[in-house]
Amino acid sequence: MDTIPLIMNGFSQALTVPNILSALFGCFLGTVVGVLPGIGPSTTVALMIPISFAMNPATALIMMMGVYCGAMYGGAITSILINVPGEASSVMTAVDGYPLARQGRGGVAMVLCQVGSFIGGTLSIVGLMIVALPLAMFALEFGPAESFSVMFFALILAATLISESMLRGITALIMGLILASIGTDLQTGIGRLTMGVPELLDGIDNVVVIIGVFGVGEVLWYAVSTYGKAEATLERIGAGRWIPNREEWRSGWGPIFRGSLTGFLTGLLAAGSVLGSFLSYSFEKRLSKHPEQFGKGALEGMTACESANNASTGGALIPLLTLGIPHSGTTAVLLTVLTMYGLKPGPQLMIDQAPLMWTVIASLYIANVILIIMNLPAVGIFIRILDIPLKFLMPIILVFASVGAYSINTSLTDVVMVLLFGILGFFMRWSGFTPVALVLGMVLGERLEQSLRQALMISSDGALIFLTKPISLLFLLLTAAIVVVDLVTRKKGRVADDSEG
Amino acid sequence: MKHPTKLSETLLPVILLVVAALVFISAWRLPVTATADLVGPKMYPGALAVLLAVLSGLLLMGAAPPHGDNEGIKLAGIVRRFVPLVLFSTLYVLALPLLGFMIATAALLMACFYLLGERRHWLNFLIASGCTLATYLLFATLLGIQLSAFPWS
Repeated sequence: MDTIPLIMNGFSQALTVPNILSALFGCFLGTVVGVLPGIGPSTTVALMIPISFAMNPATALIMMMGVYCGAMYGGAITSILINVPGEASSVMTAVDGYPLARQGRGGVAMVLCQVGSFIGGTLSIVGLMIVALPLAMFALEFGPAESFSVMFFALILAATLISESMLRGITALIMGLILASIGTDLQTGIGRLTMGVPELLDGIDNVVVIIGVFGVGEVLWYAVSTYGKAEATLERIGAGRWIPNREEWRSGWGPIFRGSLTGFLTGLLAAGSVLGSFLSYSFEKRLSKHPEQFGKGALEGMTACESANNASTGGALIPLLTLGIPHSGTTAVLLTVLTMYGLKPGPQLMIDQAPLMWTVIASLYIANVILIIMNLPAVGIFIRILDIPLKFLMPIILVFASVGAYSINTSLTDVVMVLLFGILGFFMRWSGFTPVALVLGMVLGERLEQSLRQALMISSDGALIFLTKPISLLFLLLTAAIVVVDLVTRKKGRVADDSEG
Repeated sequence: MKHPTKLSETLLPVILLVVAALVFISAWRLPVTATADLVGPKMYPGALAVLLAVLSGLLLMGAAPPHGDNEGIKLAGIVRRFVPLVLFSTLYVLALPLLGFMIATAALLMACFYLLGERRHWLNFLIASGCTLATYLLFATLLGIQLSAFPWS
């Protein structure tokens, strides 16, 4: 089947006035949703279902794809400016984005993120067009054993690379895994670790943990760390310049393309956008000549993970459209929308419903163009937030975080949880633990446990299933190699420090 | 291994040891069901609790290098800033259903501004009112989140 005429036909269908307006509205709403903590893209897409009844399928799907892409773009803004990631996939952006903002380079960080998001998003659509079906079939090779090993690899990689101490990193990770196991056990229906609190039967929302440990934790940290210091040094961060210089552009290209590839490939798997951003960050740190800069304001790490989480959108659509398997909340809602219009996702969808599907794919390109045009000039406006004196900005973040948490389930319990996780975030930082490892454990924890238990259930050789499956074995060996290399590197560093001392 | 003596290095591992014990006991008490698989709902959190206890113990024994980067966190700062902020936030959650979003949020903001060093009450009032109104318009009006603005609304 020749792709060019199909995509050209898709563009001709997508570039009508109602469809462009619909894409514009979706992109705007998606960006707003991405910026605000709490309301995720899945909820927004779900809320749009009743509106979409009055539209033709193409227009409705274009609007929803706009929300999906827009939310990925918007997530970077609050991560960089105020250290409040609205979604799990934006957590890694905050790790280096916020330190960059505190150095007065927040504008540069945001521009590179927007460009990285555009390139990542666009490349992933190219990938979706070219290799959708074979890649989807490859993704089917990933059974529970393989999924467990990949997630285990990502978790250990994050705990060892991001934390300054492996022991503290793994401890934070275990804390995240325990938090993820709170709630109803999916296989037996038993409520676990709920301590008698009925609200905990549904588990703890990832976004609550993220807003708490990052947003509220940062406010508490600012308040305590500035106690007794001269006010002149604390006034404001300052917007600074926002056009990257040549060196900054040059340092961004490699991570953008590598992050896009990682994000696209991990998008095929469960928790793709989160996994993609963590893995691409880790790869960049390994490749960097200045790994010590990571976590303190490295443009490479931030652009790589931001490109990866946008590239995961195209990757995540592949199993959805070609196999009917949603890997995230948003793609699950999109699956509902597709079936609502009588479309049956599967290998035949791209053939049976070719005009509609290629219109949607064309609309993804259009959404990416709209988003970069809309968001790049907005950097100059958003960056002005950093001109607000911190003594005013920090309490505003506290309110923003509380209302964001409330908006998830319109429940005050979530606001209390955010505060508790803020306290935890403060003490973790005080004790040298990285909240990123905790969040990663929390986000991937449930899938890790389910993969482990499913793999053991289908295995006739018990735990040997992880060693007999080649992909699983490969990732377990890689994990072991990472731990050994990390231990040796740290030991060498300590010996060198001692001899210098 | 040198045993850590600083509060920042001992407090969290001690709390984590207690958490690990609670998680283990809670997991152990879970009923065994006929539908349970090999790992079951018990074993996974139980194993994590044991791991957490071991790691916390190692941290208390000084197995991790000391953490030095505390950016001048002082106990006085914790008492005079951290405790009041947590207290204000707790009161905010309690006040929200009673006073409504507008009054509770503006009061929280003004209290926090004052705590963080701004003594001009008129400025605190203006900024707190403006931010409260903007947040309400954004979340309640634009996004349709149910927030009662005032006690009577």
